[in-house]
Amino acid sequence: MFREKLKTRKHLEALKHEIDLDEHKVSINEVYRRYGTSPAMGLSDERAAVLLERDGPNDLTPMRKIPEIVRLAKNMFGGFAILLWIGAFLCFTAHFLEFYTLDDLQYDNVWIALASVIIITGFFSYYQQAKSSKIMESFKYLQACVVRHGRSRNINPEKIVIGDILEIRRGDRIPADIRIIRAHGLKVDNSSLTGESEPQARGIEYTNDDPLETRNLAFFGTFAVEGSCIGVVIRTGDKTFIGRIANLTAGIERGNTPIAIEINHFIRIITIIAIVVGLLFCICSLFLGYTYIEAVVFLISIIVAQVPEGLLATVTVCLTLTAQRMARKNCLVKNLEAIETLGSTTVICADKTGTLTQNQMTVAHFWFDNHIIASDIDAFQSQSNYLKFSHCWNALGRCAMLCNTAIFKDDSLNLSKPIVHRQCEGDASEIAILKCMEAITGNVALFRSKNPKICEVQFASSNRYQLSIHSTGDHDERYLLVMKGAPEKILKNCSTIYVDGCEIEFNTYWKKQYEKAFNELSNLGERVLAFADYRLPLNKYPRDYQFDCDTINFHVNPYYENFNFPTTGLRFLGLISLIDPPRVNVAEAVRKCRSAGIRLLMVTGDHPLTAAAIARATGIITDHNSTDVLLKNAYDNNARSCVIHGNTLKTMNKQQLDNLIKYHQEIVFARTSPQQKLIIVETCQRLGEIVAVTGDGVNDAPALKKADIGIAMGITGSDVSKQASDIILLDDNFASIITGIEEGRLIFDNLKKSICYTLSSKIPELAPFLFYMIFQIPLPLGTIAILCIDLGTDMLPAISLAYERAESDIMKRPPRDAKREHLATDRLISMSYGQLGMIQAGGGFFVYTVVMAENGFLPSRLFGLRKSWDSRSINDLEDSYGQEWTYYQRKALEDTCHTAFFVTVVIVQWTVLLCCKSRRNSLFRQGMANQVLNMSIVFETVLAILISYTPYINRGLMMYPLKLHWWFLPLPFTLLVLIYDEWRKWMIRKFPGSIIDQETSY
Amino acid sequence: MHLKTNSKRRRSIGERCRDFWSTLHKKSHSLGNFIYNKEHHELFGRDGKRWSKLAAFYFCFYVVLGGMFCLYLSIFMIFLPINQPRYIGKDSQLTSRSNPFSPGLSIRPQVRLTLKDPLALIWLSSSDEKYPMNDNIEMYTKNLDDFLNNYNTNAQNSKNFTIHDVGDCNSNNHYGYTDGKPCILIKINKLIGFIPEVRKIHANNRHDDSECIGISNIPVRCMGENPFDQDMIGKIQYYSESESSDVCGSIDIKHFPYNGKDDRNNVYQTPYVWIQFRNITPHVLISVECRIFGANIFYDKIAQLGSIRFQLYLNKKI
Repeated sequence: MFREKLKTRKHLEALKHEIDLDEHKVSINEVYRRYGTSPAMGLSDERAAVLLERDGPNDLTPMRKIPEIVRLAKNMFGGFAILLWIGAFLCFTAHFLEFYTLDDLQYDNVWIALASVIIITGFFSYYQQAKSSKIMESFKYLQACVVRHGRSRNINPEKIVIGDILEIRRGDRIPADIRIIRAHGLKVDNSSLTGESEPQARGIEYTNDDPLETRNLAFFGTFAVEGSCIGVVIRTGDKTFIGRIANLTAGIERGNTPIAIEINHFIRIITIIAIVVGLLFCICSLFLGYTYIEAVVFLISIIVAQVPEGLLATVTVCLTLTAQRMARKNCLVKNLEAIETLGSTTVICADKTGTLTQNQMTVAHFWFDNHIIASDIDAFQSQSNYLKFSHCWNALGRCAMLCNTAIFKDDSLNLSKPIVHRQCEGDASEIAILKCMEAITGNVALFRSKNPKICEVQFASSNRYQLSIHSTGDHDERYLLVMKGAPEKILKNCSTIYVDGCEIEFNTYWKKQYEKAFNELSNLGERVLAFADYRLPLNKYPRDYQFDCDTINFHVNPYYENFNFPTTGLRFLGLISLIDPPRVNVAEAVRKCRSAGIRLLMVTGDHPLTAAAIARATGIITDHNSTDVLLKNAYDNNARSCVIHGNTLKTMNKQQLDNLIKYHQEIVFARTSPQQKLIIVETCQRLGEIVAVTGDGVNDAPALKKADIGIAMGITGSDVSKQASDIILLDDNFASIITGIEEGRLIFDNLKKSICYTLSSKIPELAPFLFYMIFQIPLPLGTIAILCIDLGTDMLPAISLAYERAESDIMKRPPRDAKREHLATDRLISMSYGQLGMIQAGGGFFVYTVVMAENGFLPSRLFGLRKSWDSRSINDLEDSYGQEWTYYQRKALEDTCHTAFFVTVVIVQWTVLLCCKSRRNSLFRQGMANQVLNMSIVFETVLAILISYTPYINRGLMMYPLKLHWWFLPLPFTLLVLIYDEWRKWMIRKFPGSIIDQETSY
Repeated sequence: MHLKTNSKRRRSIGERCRDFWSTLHKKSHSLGNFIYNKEHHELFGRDGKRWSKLAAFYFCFYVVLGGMFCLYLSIFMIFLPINQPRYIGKDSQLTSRSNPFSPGLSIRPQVRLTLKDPLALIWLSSSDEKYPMNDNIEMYTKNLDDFLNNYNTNAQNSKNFTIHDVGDCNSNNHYGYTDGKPCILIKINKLIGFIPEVRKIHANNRHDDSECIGISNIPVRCMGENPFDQDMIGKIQYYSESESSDVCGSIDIKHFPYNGKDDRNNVYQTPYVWIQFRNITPHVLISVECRIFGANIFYDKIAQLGSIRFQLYLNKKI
């Protein structure tokens, strides 16, 4: 425990280190001095070359890639493969032991077969991984404009060095961390870095201690969505903010996936059983008078018979099939084992922006005429009459359309798309308003051309409003001034309010009404904009009046408002509120998660109010108390829901954090930093939860990597986050996660069934050998036949169980308890070895006895016959009827017995497969809808027929054609399996908690 | 849950060892707890009551399963024919893709079973040697005595088999083993329904039976496997039912076919031929191959169909 703490702290220290920069605090001249540059001249080419040599290219070191050969080796020698290798090695040893001691070689080629199986499955899984990781392609960005030697030129962004003067234009991806020297209405999209959905204004002023919050820094990998700037490069490559997060992410290692743990557990059980049984019989054989070498060969044979050779391939194929099924549902699985992890997930930490929400601002509400109207089209249609005659709406709509600089990208293809999908240029909120107005009025562009713009003042973060002046197309000679901006700013400039077509004084009553509406909307987490207009009197501002907006001067000194027209005494029109709305299916998905017993925590960099609003809208928080109350719930262990601000989180110690996550069901973490996300994930894991993290930004990457399963967004996700994740949602749809969880749970259930099926043939494979050893009968089942079962006929049926549909509604039960519910339990082993396997073995021995008896060796003759039977120098072994068999004649009979035993196992496995289809339900309820499974029964039978009857193939596998009626001998046992298992399941359903239930339900 | 936050940090060897021991201790403790839990008196996760319940369940299960197995098998056994197997001749597994329906040969004495060596070895040493090989001669004699016991029945039957002229090959003479002139008994394997056919002789017959031309029965002939063996083997005397010869032995086809048992009793007497090696070279291991020849007798040296191979070794010149 102590070590953990130490590590975490050290780790946090490393993260804290990230923000150790002071370039934003010192004066700009100090920065120039420090990096030996000047804004006008920039660096010299020579100096740039030296710096480039010193710092390396301005590029992220690719995430520490595991060499391909290591990955291949991992597939070849990891987990189950190692057991098989041991098996192969043992076979090889046995081969040599036999070669030098016995003449009858059983193991001549078995080790080669085993080795090929491992190599083939190894390559197969490697190929699967390689295929999914290929989709990860990092994208290169274009050119960067730097000033060198006093001239600006375009260079490859990799060549940028510290001290370069960069020119950034709208739409550029910022190629390095910069300190801003000059900015023109610059806004950067920091969402990949901080998770804030809104573009952040950037300028030259130092506003915050925190480099992420301060205005005068812009970071590598973010986008300049608006405006332009000039800046000096202060960090490049891996030293950039994103670079360090990426490096940190690469350094995080996590433990095994739950399925890997389960498989290891399973391997351990099988190994222990194999070795214990092997040693037991090895010792027994010594007492029975066998030689040491014989005893060792017995030991090896028993161990090999116990290793489920085909299971490795089965598990890989099952996971692959599920991965393919999920890929069809737009869930790209990078790490196959992650599928099951998703199924055992107990906590999902969901990022808000881009995951739960669309990451697209949308108009949510209007407030005018003292009404709040929702913006969706349905609401509008139902109130269309009211709207048609509302003067106030017309005025607000006009203002919203005119006082808006966003436009649709002007190409016919773009314009022919539905409005929602059209590409636009401009500020996110302006685009939202544009799209909304386009949807309501039909043609904004036409309206704008009828009301041409005379002059405008652009929005700036400093003045927080924008205005424009238009000559209107409604035959009114007066110019129209329209203004939009932050409500408190607009409010100050207004003296009247337009209500129900009357312009009345904006008195305290109306101010109160406005106040109420504003609070209501902002409590919904919405961003509120206010609109106002003013008809400029014709006498003062005639038609050809020259408006002087002084835009250039305005940007340099925003507090200098020297217009030659009034900006006060306006008419207040109303409010429009915007929100980044939750995705359509998210609420449904959240509800499903909850019924599946999975807790959903929202972890976002956004503002608590916005976060809480979205959490409410999606059902992550079901508490109806106001957000302020929820914010106070953090230390109250009795509260169900709470909202935590990042600053509060910072002050919490480990114990408090544990309590926070243990006692609150619904938590929203707002304003969280990347390291806090990591802490949240670690805390959950410390409490024994299996954590899934969804995210798209670079800031999510460490948490994605640390989580038991990281889920990245395919469209909005950053490269770093995609690399750190295990699953990528190609359509960014949160609801796909639910499908993933369902598939993950299903695959666990089905793997269990698959293992039960595979293991059930272990006893019929082992028992012949034990009988051979103890009762000295001729060997009923050879090693080659065992491999034919494990790697031939059993493979497809075991895989086909992966297609089995769920028995009950698996999304209505809580997630698997990783500590108690295992893949292979003692009950599964007891069931599959002690019951199903025994019936199969019974069938096998019966058919063996019949084949022997019908050829002359009655059961009484068989006991103790082994030594004579296997002795080559006896050329006249007498059977029960006095016939004398040469060595080769009786070996042909023995191989026929092997074939018959093998066929029996196949035939009894029919119903074992049917029984494994369900664990509780009757077969008649479960149905036979799994066509793959039905086909696999046919397939294994056909394969058995081919092995038995095809010339050359049967010779190669030492099999012989069987008489027709021998095929029907196992049927009573086949039926017995079905009857027994139906009875067992009936007992389990009818008498839960009874001995049958306790000991046989796996 | 184990947290592996920072793997890059190097740990000292001491730390690693301490980790290893602590996990080992923890694991062994939990394993011990699993094997016997003192708190709940549980052995391997179950208490006495549950164990006995489980045992009872499995007892019932296996009794029922075993009962069904025995019932099913006994029903099946009732319908098996008594004197002959259900499948004989070409239907049985005596006939398969690698073995046509044809008998093998076998020899007596047959005493030592070796898994490794496909050839029987007959090892003779004189009594004055200090080797403990003397037992061999007694073993061989006893083995032959036991085999010939079957033929001393009083019941007269047309199929009874006797060789009147056996030369030295009798029990009193220790079948010639004490003299270094061993007698080997050669017989054809019993196969139900198999009747050997005498081979029609061709003019250009290259086979080894060329010297046995004119015998109206199935000829038996032994030779050294290689020219070297042939040189060492010396003189061979054949004692057959019809005659004794130094060229080849013979088996009369009137003894065939074998028809299985009669009411589960052995009534059939297998025809055989005595072969006596009269002057083999001592101190040399000699490989001998004996063959029978017939139109429907298939010869396969490896599978020992229609042939038998064995080795002779005489320790000292007597």
